[in-house]
Amino acid sequence: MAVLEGVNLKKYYGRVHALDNVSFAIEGSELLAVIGPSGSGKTTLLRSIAGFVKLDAGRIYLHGQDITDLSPEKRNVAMFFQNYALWPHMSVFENIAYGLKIKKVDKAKIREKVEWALEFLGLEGLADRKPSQLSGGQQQRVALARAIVVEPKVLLLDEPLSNLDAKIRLRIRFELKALQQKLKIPMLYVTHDQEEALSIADRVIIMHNGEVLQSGPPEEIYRNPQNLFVADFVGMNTIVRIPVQNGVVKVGNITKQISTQQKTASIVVRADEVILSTNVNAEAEPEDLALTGVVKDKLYLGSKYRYEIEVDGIDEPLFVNHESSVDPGERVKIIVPKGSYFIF
Amino acid sequence: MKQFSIWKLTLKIVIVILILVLMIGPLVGIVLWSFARRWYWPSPIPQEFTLRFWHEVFAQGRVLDSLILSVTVALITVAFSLALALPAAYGFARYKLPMERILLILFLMPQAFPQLPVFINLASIFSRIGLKGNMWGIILAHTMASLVFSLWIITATFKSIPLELEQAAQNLGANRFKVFWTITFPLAIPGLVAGSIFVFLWSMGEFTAAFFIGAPFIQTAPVLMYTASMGYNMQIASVISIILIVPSLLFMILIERYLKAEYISGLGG
Repeated sequence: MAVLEGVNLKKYYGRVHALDNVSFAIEGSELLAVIGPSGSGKTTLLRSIAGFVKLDAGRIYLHGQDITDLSPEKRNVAMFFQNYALWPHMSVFENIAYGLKIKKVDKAKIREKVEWALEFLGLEGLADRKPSQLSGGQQQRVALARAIVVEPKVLLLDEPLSNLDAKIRLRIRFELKALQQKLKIPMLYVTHDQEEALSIADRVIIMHNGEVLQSGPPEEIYRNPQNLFVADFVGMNTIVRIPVQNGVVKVGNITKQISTQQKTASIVVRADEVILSTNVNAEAEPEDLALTGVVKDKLYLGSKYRYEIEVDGIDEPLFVNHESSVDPGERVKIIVPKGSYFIF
Repeated sequence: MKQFSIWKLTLKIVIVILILVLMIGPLVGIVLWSFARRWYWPSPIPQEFTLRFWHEVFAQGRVLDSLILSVTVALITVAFSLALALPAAYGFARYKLPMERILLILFLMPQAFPQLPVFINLASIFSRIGLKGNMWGIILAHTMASLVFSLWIITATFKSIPLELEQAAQNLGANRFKVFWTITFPLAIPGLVAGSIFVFLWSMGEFTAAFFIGAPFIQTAPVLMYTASMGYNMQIASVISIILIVPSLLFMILIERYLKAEYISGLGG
């Protein structure tokens, strides 16, 4: 039985479909990430599970129990708010103890649990501070402590890392993953950062305009995207469009049959995964996409270069990254391995 | 480096003195008047000083009675005003009410029209239901008219508290009542204090309603002051007005003490 399950959830704001028949399930103690651009409905999904958004249709089950119509305080799902929502008039200790106090846990037990949470998240010595006296990273951990100390059945995280500096964010990503594995709390993790989601999630749901476009393990989403949006949303990509003739796309050595309705096809290329060679006759596997072209421009990125390439037979420029240095004006062969390009 | 300019400095000093004269000048005049036996134009200070009027005011006792009445009326008005404004303001701040703006402006009505006709009408209504010449009549009038201050200030305060702070508490199992008393209310205290000060000061100084509704049996301090100065007894009026400042000052100091630092720093965070 799924820990948390949503079945055909619908929510409309006027004509806007914030949630359009969304279904999902969290099994065991997995971390399920919901990703999508802003306005895709991912936060609405999270808030509807917490009970702050009233659904127009659909049911939500927590351990098989229908919680769709329960008020937020009776749901036993803890939520981590994007801007932490720490109470400014309470100390760190009081913030973390709040949920336990509400549940009428006895004082000694509260102290013990809060101290455990403080230590677990590396917040020792900060118990008496006010939230305004903490750094962003510390506030984030207090918010996390407040949510896990009540031992929720599910932890909902709304963009937990978005307010942190880029460097801290990378570190906390691992910490979050480690924390999840230690505590074995099922998590629903909402973010617009696809890299973050792919790196920490057990499974990923991609949403767009209130719909679930694809769900699956991160590798599957990355290597086998079902449509143009998903292919483009995950990874670092470059997209070129080419005309379709009678339902056939021909690009380089690859020919692909697609719908005859389509006038143009889009080729999504994982920009970091191409092989660039000045040897125009370099060998390629039959299923690799092999192209030739002329380097137009080159940008130094530190560990590699970013190239703008005018590809033979394609009107739009192709942007790819590669570590070898090639000067503008040179002819190159571009080999995109199978699984690193997608044609839609 | 900023260039030092004697002209700029002079201008600054002149402006500061002007502000001081404008703010403190009238007060100084009142204090002087309260000790004056004779003060004729164009002398800048009274020709003769006396303590007679201070003595007279305290000896009569009615001044003290008026003062106590004024403070009582103001305190109960604050209590009523807060009790009414608190739930209403919460509603305005947190729910989409139909015609919210119009409703909020409706509370301004008693203050929007000239006070005289408003309170004369109210007095005639109150006289029919036995609230005229009665402390509770004045309290009711003051509560109604001051509701706009407390309601607007507290609504703005509630609106400034992020909804997520409440939702976070609810999410951890607190019901609406608990959420209000543990989160919303403590965070709103600065706004409540500001509202109370406003209402208190307004009620302490209010004349029109107190005059028409209180007459003929009871007199609040401003009414007494008015009657005193009507008899061209500037000295008595001055003494009363000085005494009238005291409770207001005390109230402000007390409340300012109480709300100190902690809450403000918390909100400022």
